[in-house]
Amino acid sequence: MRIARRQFLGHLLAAALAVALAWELSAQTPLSPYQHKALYLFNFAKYTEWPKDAFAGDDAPFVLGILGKDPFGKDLEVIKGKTVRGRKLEVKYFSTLEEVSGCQLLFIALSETNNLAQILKALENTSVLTIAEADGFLQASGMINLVTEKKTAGTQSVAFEVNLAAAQKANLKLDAQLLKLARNVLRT
Amino acid sequence: MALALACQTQPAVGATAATTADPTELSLEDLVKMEIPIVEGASKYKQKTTEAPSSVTIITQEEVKKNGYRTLAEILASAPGLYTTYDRNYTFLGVRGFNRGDFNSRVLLLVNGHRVNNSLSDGAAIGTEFILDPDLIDRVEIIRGPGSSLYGNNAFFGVINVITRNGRDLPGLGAEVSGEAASRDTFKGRVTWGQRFTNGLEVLLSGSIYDSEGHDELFYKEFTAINGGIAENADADKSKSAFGSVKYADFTLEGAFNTREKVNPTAQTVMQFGFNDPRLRTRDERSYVTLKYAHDFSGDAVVNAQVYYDRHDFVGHYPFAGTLYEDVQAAEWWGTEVQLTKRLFDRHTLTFGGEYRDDFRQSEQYSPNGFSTVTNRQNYGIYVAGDFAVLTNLHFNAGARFDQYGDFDAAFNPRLALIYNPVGQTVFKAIYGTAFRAPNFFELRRNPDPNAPPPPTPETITTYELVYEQGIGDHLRSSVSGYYNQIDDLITPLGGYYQNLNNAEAKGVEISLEGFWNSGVRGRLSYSYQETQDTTTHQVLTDSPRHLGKFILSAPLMKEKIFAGAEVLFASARETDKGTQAAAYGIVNLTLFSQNLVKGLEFSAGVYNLLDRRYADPATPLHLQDVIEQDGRAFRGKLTWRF
Repeated sequence: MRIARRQFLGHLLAAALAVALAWELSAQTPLSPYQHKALYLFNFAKYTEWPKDAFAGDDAPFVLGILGKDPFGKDLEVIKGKTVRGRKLEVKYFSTLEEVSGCQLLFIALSETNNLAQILKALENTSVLTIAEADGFLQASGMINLVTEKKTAGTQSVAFEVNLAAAQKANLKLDAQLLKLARNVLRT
Repeated sequence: MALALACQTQPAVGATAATTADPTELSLEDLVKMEIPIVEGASKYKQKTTEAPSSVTIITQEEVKKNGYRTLAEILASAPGLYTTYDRNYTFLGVRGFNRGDFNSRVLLLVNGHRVNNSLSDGAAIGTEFILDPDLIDRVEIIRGPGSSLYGNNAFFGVINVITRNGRDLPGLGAEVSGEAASRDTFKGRVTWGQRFTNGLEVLLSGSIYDSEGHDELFYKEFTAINGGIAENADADKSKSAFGSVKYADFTLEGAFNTREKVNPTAQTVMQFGFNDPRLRTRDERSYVTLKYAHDFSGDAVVNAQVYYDRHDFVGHYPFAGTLYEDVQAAEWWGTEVQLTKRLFDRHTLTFGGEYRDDFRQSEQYSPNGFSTVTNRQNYGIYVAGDFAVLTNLHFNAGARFDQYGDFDAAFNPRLALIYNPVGQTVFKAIYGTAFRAPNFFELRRNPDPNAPPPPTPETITTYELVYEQGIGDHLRSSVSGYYNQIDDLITPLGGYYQNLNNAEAKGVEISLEGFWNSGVRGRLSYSYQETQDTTTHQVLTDSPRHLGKFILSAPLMKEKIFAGAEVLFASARETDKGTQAAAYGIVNLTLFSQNLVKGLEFSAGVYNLLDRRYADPATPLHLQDVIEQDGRAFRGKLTWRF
């Protein structure tokens, strides 16, 4: 045990030293939890291929829809107006299911958790990538679910899980990289 | 150790090389690996630790398990700038060089945001008398510096917010059974059940029993006239506790109870009359029930409200000159709090709040034929705080609170902070604030005596602090903090009365380096230099070590299954009340922790004070002893089964 301890001490020192010497100041400012999630949405858009008819035309923007009570607020600024898949990213806010139209990616807020089945049923024959952060979202045939986990020292991390079958049914092609990094992939 | 410290004290050199990149360039892989810091207690709403107007340390359940912490006191003692002193009855918390051996009334202790300092001494219980079984802790937020601008009374040196686990954290059937056995006939058992149902109802219920016989014999040279100075079988510590929480929609009903009885081997206050008498013991009972409401209105407004009832009962048995005296203290209080947090233009945050508290029964009765005191106290406080994003990388944080007590002048306490994030993971904080501690029930109590001095007024503190936090790569975080505390009107007993007699000052530097790696290795190295002085007597404060060093490490021996935790705690010599010194000490604790070797089963084995060092803490002014010797090597085994 004592030898093991010394090794760990060595490990810590070596790592501290290496990092300090290389001076790897990682460039990003610390993100807020919903900036972090917004960046996930952006990356999901990057790693998904939509059928051509999912867009109104070649110049049409890429539309991110948010259904229900918006948890992002200003945190969405980190991705607004950026270019994704050669299109300008725009955001539309929907308060009810009936309003949902013309988006390629739909984030379903926690406030809609009780209506998930109904929402996903209504979107069944459209090429909309559905994303939420609710237990049971994949089981209700949602496509990507964000899972927030409390980690060490008062931090949180976010993982995601994918329902590949649901995405395929909607004619969406998910990149292998996305599937590789998913914590869990439902294939049937 | 020295090398690592040196590395992180000179980071500014290379900082100019870093440019703020476009965060959308972060890869999916980066996002998966990323950890975002969060803290609640610093501003009374959830925020990133780097944006909190304080120096903050967070210790999580995982660390508690992997380092084998047995009490809240041990958790706190692992944090930079904090240390504890045990007199074999209560545990006293030292913060930034200040520990007066009274009942921790200069720290505000919260459980899920509910104040648990008691009503009579305003003390915070952190040993086995803490209201919560430490197994139920999800995380502990240690927020240094004056917190009276938000929290009022007692948030003097800092605020400690203990956040409990939730029903949802218990998988499967939601049951958890835990048992432990340790040196000196010490046993503990716990049963917990928790669940979140599909309709949103969330429940957590838990009960624990702790029973320790303690040392068979403890020797105190000051008592050699009685039984050769040996206190036999006089160290038992027994407690029972229960906790319950029911959440539905925006409402949470939460209750906690702890009863703890400790036999007292050190015989303070009763001196030689009660030494080695097992009847000399104290019992503390503490409970609360609170109903909380939290609603998140769209438009970025959050309302929090709670109404609570609290109770504290104390019984002390003092054998004194042939008679067994009984000191019965009881307090009951209720109160209510409302707080509104509003986001403005998505950049600024405003918080308004108010609270009212009615300590409708504060009583003490000595028998036989002793005095009795029955009184009550009411107070209210209102506060406002704002966090303004002056620039995207410069926040100005300001707040103030007004507290009115019936029995002395109102207290007004501001806090101002500038939080500047010039580049990358570099954050600077400049903080100014004041705080107060109102005289407690015992300090205000007077006999009808025409010559009595006027009652004491609140103690006050003014703090200036500079914090520099630097993230280094993905795995290391460092912080350096320098502070100056000026403390006025300390309440000191003299001639049977308490008066505002002393002033003090403390200045110091805290340096810490924390590392986390995906392999599961994590560590924290910290060093504190603290210099204190009673400016009335020009002496160093008692129980105030000049140097504190801590090294805490846990690392997997088998990936995600077996972990080794090591802890080295060092404190330099401390002055005692009787004018000598408690010698410097360094102790080592080791814990082996395993999970999922068998599904649902956790096992841990710990050795505390591995090297069996003899060390002692300064005794309180009420003791005949100068110092109280602490435990030598001890073992603990613990098994937790979840199903």
